[in-house]
Amino acid sequence: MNDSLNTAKKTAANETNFDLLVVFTQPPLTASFPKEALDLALVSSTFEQRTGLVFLGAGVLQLHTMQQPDLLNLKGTQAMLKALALYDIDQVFVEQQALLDYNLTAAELLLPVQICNSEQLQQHLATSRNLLTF
Amino acid sequence: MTDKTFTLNICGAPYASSAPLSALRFAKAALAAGHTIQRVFFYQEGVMLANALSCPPQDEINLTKAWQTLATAHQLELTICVAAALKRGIVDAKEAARFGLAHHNLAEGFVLTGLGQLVDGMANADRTVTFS
Repeated sequence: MNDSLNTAKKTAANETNFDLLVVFTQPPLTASFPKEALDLALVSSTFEQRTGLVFLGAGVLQLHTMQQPDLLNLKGTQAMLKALALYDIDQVFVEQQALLDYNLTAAELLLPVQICNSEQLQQHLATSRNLLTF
Repeated sequence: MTDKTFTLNICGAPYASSAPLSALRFAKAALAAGHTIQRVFFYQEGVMLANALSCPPQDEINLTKAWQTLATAHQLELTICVAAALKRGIVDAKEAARFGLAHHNLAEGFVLTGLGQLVDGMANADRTVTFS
């Protein structure tokens, strides 16, 4: 009885847990980190790993619609971010406090996201098989 | 503790960060304790370790050589993200020919490969440890 309950719990947990969460902490248009983080997420999903993205702190600015990378002679990541759904990456988590800190709303973001409080974020981070932070 | 398999993801540059040295020490300790290093992957600034032309002073550790020695002793494959490497000027003979470059500098024992190797390494190891 207990065994079957445990198995059921495990199965339920496995359906929601990730093989890999890629965590974004850096603002856009600085270093190559965001591009390299997205490259990894796309490859991971292509390899049929359950892959999600987490945007923390200044990382939420990656998702801001009002970016003009052209002005800096840089190639932004907006096109890659918008292509995530094509790669079956539809689990995108954003830190609620970071949105407040930068005075952003979900409507100002490039993607549909799930806004998470610190407890919810902690839950995702603690249950993912792997975490890679950029 | 039962033996574990590890994948190491090294993202920090030699000399500018402690990543390659910390990872080297970790790998030695893990192997000495009977664990397996499933894969060593270099990404982001970590690819700079594969520069065969780096010449640190003689009385300092040569991290590239130290990794080559460990890899030879334990048959470790030192895999490098090709996109991150090309961007930072780490090329093998094949890529040098492809881009019309006069030189190549990928150190012996390192191999240019894709991010799939990191994903595969993560999927097949008990633990992945990142050094950045």
